Amino acid sequence: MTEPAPPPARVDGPEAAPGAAPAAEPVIEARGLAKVYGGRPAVDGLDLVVPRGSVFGLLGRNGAGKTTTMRMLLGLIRPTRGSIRLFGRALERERLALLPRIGCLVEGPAFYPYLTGRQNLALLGGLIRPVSPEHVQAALERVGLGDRGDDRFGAYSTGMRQRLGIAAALVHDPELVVLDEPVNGLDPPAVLLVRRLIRRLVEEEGRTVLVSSHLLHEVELTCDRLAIIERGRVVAAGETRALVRPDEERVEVTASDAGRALALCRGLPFVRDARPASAPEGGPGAGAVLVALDGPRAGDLNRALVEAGLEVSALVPRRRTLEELFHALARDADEAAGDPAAPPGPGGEAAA
Amino acid sequence: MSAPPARGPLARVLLLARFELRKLAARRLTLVAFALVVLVAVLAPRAGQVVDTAAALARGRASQADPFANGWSALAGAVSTARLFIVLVVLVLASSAVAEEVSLGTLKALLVRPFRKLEVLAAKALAVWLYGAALVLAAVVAAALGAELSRGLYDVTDPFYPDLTKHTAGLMANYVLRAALATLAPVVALTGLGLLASTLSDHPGHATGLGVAGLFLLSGLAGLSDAAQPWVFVTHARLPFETVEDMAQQISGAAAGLAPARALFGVAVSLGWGAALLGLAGLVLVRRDV
Repeated sequence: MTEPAPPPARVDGPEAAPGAAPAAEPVIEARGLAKVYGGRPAVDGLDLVVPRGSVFGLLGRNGAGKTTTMRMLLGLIRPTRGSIRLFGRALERERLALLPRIGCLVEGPAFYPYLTGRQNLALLGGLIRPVSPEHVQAALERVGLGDRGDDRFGAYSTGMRQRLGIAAALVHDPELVVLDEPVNGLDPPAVLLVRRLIRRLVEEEGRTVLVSSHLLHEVELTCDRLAIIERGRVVAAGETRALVRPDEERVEVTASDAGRALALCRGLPFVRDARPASAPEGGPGAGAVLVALDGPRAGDLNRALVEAGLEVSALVPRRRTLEELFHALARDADEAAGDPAAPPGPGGEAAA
Repeated sequence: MSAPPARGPLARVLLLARFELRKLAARRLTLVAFALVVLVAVLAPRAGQVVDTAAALARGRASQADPFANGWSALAGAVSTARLFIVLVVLVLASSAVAEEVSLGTLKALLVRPFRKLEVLAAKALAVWLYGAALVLAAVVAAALGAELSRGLYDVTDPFYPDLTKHTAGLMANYVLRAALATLAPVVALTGLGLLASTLSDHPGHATGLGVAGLFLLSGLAGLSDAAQPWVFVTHARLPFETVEDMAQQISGAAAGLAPARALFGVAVSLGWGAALLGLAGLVLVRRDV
């Protein structure tokens, strides 16, 4: 039985291909990575390049292969096929030399419940390099646990545990920080704290951060670059900005008479599709029309509406959200795999 | 972001062992077990006297002391009593060592640091053995204190010819020391048994059950025949202090049990079991995905 062909990777932005190497030596370079469990591929020929000094997001549904990929990148499991290079060196041969340069939080925070947060950090950090009490305190303060370090880990809340996990990834001053679902279980202020911390790690301290998440908004806000994983393969990769760039072929029109505008748009030869923009009643976008054009024809559309006597108060290129892109890619992957249970896009609408 | 220091395999195991010992020291179980073993060893000689007196009174007779009982026999008896606790504590700690790390998720936290699985296992074995050894030595010291306080540790003399010294106090102390050292080897095997059980289950409770079942099985095996007995390490866990007790009670030929050749045989058998069990545990752990 042959497996259905995987969907082609959609690549946006300046990169030529998923994982194409940028000029500087990448911190992570995985080629043709595969992991098969009992004949079922969890990761299937994944290519990934994480440039130095960036926040790289690994985005995918549950079971897409994010965590398996991270476990392979950390040497916790051996790939069935493929190669991994970290800092330009082969992980398989030099794992012990490479791991001290990495700090990670994988599959949730794991600590000894009978030790305090401070003791956990000191002991685990001390396994890599001597860690002073000041280092430990600084790591605790970075995640907002400065005054809770002497509580036993067993008494920590879910959010505090998660934050301690992030502190443990940082306490030994690593060059590469790998965070698997870092904002899981955090309240909004803590999410903001972690988001800022991740940016600071890269922008002020020159580290590289690899983040996996299924929280699209979080990845969009935090990551410079990202790769979307579906069924163990990278289906899109590139700069976040480029992936969610405004799409000049789709515009949202707000006119004095939405009904007439919609009817008019549907009659225009360069309009592929026109429909009411989905928005809560009375909210932003109410009365607007979403128009798909045959090319960059927004000017023509505006002229036609004005010439028809409509007052156009806004004509905005519709920004493709990461969520729309993600759902479209997920649907492509499901269709290619012959899975009828493909989830619909947001509002049943296809991404551009 | 300076490069962390590179370490060789031995340095890594020692670093991990120190980490394990600090974890053990922070646990209530280990502290309570230590206190319990010391308490049992200190009180056992006195408790023995109390039990003997109570038994005699229950029979309606005045208490008649065993003429061959003395401080040294009380010491050996107390260590033998404490040994039961020591065996259980070491087995529980070793059996939960890896399984607990798996269930807490901390094994992953160790393996994303620069260590091999076998180094983690070796460090755990070393730490549990050191703790077990500390328990044995503490039990011996506490039993000696208890025996000195209850009966006194004097020369062993013939009860019917008090001028006839059978073993001097110095010689008995020497035998106690040799017995204590000989007991440390079965602790290695016991640690190996516990760690093997620990690698076979992800649940510390189940692993402990497996370890205890394994110990019962081996004890049963040792009891099957006189020929099998010397080849099972559990025999060598009880033999050294039983020999000291026999010597203190002037049972003829008892000293042969602590003769260098016999003692070395016991140590070799125990270390052989330890190596085999730890090797098996290593094989299981290496083959497991974390």
